[in-house]
Amino acid sequence: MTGPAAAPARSQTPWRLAVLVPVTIGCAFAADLTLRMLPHDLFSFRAWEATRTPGEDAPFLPNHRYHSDRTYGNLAAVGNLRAFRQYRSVTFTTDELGYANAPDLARRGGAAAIVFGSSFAAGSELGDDSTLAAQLARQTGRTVYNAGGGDPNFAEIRWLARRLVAPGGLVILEYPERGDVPFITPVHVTHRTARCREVIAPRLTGVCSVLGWLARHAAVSPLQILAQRGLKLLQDDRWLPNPYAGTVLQARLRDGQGMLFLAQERVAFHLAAPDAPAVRYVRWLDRKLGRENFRVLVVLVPRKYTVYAPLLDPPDPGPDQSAPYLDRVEQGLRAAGIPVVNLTARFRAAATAALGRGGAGGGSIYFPDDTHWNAAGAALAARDIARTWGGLEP
Amino acid sequence: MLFNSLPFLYGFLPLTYLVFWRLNGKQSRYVWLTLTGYVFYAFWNYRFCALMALSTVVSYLAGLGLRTWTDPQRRRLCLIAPVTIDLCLLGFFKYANFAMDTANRAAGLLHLPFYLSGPEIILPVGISFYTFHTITYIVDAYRRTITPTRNFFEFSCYVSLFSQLVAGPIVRFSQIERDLENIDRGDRRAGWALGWSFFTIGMVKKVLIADTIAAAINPALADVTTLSTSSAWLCLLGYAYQIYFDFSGYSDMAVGLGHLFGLRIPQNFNSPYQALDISDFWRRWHISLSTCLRDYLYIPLGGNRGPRWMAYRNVMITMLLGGLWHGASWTFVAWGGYHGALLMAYRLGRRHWDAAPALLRRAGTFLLVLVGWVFFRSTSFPMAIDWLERMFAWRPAPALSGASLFLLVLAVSAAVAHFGSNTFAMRHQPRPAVAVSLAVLFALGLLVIYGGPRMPFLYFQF
Repeated sequence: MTGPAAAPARSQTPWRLAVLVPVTIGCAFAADLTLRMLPHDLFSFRAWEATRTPGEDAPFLPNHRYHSDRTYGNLAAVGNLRAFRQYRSVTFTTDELGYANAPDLARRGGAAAIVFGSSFAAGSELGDDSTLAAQLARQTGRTVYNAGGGDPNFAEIRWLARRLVAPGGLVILEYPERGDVPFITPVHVTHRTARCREVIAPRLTGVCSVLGWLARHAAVSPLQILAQRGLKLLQDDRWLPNPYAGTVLQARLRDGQGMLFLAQERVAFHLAAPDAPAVRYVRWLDRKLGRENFRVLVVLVPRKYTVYAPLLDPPDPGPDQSAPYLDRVEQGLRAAGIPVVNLTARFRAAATAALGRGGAGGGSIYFPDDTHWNAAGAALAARDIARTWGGLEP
Repeated sequence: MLFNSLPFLYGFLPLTYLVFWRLNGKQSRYVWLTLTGYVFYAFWNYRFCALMALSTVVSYLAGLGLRTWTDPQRRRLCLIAPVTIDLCLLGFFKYANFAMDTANRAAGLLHLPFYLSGPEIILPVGISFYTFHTITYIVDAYRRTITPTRNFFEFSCYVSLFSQLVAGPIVRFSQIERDLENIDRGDRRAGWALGWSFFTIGMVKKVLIADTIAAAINPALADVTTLSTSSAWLCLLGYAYQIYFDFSGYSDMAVGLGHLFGLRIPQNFNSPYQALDISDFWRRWHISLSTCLRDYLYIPLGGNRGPRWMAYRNVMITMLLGGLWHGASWTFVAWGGYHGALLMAYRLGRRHWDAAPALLRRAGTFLLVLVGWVFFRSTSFPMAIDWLERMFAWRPAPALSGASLFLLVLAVSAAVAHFGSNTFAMRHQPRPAVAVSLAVLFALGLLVIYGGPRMPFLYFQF
């Protein structure tokens, strides 16, 4: 065995590995801790990541305003596809409860309707005026509260509806095409802050806020975000292969327009998901909310791939099923007498009509670099919902 | 927990180090290192700590028996019982699924109405290493080459020492016994300097070289049927350097961590790609394993004694089992068999081989080792055959695209592996400029750890 060279003489120079490396580790640790203290807005590429509070009562930071002139879509980010980024300006405001609304909306109460649902309802990548709730309010002239963005259980839906919606008001459930039933959690308030508030006396709720802040800042490392971005610059298929590209499908529409999709959406498009659990759940929820004197309207939102599959070059005819998933859910809900808006056919028609008009400003209803609808898509949904809502009025 | 992870660098290592050197007595240091070894292991899966504890207790008791008893029968019992238990543990957790799968395939081929099924068994990380630690301890105690320790925590500290726990090197008790005995008298300052030097070099090897190569070749190797001839060779070259820098990087880090705690862990790699023949390669590659196989398998089988065919048989058995030790798959057995055949061929044609110029011998040895890595890296025989076919039957297509950095790293790797000196031969007193450069590379490595996916060491799976 060759022995290592003898240990170095106890030199006083600081330019030794035994000094430099531990100092480097210490500095990196200190930098990590320091950067965690800063607002996440500085490091996020869009409002969703900057304002999310996973595990808390509400999906976003309360009373927060995020503005950026250079946000871009989640697909371009997930797939590390810089060439596909489409930069836009977004202003995203949250109210005191942590939902994407004008600041005073939660205080006013007495809304005619409340919208629950996924990131579509919340308005991912949409400005304050373009969310589904904002456009619905504009089109109907009524107050509509946006409670989208979380996965609320029945207790939370009931609590928010009682607090914010006038008796007899409308609860709009936006149900995205994902095949798993939302809000199936039992009737308990399960979120961390709520639990904390139950345990600690109300006068100590400040502690909960501090714990919430600490949890949020412990969970996100800006140094990690910056390092990932730096590494992704190298993983550009020139210096190094891009390992993320496979998560995103790069496709072209019939008119030559480029469009990104989540690769998983194509897989899901070809699977037959059972509709019974969703129908059963919504019927249960409808009964529960009916007892609270609220009416329910379900909005079925197709995946981006479902909308564009027939328009791809070459087209994807999809699975050989008697009816697509959302159509089956719609039939089940109609049979149960629950009002429902299925946006699939309307969106496909709009997407077909937009062919040939090109790019983002050409009538597209989804962002080309994102999984979500754009302002035009939300407006189209709002029009259909407003029409059905009008038909529900006595 | 990985050495190249933030919880290790920011939490585990500083805390373990600071408390260790605050403790004064031998016993408290043994207990602390045992405790930290189990915590380190529990980060992967705490349930399997019990398995390591069982192996430790059984071997310790057997060691006490061997220390106390002199009559051959009892001593044989103290040898056979713990070794059997260790081998059973290893056999069950590592090879049971493999055996069932092989039996089912054989039954399928022979059209027999026979199918074995059982639960999917999780392979406990490091089981191949710590069982080897305990087996070598028992065998050495039986042979009276060591005196088994009476101190349970000294022994448990040896088995569960976090720096060598999950991927070696396989340190024999005799190699570390003196340092363990003097654990309360270590030179903290000397160990500090040497330790960080080894650790830094190991980290750079693993994170900046091995992982960069992995990022380029893994996507290509996901489907070898799409490779062109040049890509197939580039991937193979890449894998040869990846596994070397990954494992020798891990070993360097383990040695460095040992120094930080006053323990000298022996050398595991001695510039293996500079070997002049295949026998020389095995004296330089994974030294701790190859010497174990030699001392505890090859020589007991008869070694070079007896007729020539017996020696060849012993070589082949040793290499086949050595291959199987690496993983429960027939591709590893094939890799072992390939090396066994090379060793036999070298013995047969030694005179001719040794007469060739050194540069040619070195290149030839590397080429032979290189081809063997196809079996080692392949997850199945069809993959290995496809890969070999693409290497040797011309398929014109561009070489790996989108991997300029890979080519750059490949060139650096080749220069270091074939012409550079290994970490043990270096003078660990770099000039300030070199020290600063290494520290910058270490900082870059930290950023890669922050930004990249979790990259376990390749030998963690064995």
